[in-house]
Amino acid sequence: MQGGGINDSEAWTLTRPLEANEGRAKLLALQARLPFRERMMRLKAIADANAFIDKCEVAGGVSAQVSKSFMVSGDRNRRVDIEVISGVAFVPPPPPPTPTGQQGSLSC
Amino acid sequence: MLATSEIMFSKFRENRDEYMQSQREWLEVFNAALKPIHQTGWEDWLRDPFFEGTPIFSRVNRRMKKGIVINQILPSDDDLAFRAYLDIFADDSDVDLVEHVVITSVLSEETKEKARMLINAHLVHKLPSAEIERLCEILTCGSVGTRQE
Repeated sequence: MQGGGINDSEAWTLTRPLEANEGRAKLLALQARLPFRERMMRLKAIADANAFIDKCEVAGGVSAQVSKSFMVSGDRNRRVDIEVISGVAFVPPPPPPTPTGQQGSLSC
Repeated sequence: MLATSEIMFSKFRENRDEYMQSQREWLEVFNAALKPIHQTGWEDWLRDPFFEGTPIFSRVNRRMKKGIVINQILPSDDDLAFRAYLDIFADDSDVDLVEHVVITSVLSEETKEKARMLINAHLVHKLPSAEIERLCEILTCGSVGTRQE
């Protein structure tokens, strides 16, 4: 988050792709730290950033390098930024682990 | 004034031809800005996975650690038809750090000229960051509907 005296971020360094849920949680954490007035001013920008994460999730994630700025309309400085510096981010959650002991066969 | 400068390729999000034509327009602006010094080492940079125009054009010079990002918008997206600021990508990384000018703008003859001026100042004249920031501010303020801090 930038502008209006705010310069706050939530970074990640992982050995696996960041899941979309984790991305949304980071955005929520950032949002929660904003003063009320600043949060209200950024509502649309935050919603747009969330929508971008949603689209990435549906697409199976997004590969680096990506830099997206979601601006507060008509405001020179306030914005929400997303940077994917390396790897892949905003992937869907992995499928649940397969319970052991499943068997089957196909025959004709 | 922006009102008299016609918006070009307003269907760039729906029409891939318009998207690519817009990219060519910004490439011409970039090349024109750099023409005086024939800089080499510039490569395509950021991805726009959903063809939203953000960015529609970006270039990075890894050796210089400098870049240009152009986000193309429509008048309905923002009260500001042209905004610019200096930013740093990956500011914690020695490898990936890029100081870059971000231009978020409609595509018109007037905004192309503003972008050319800014790219020229940043990459050719290599003005100090404070002066680039001031120029960004001036050009952004020159747009319609400015809301002050």
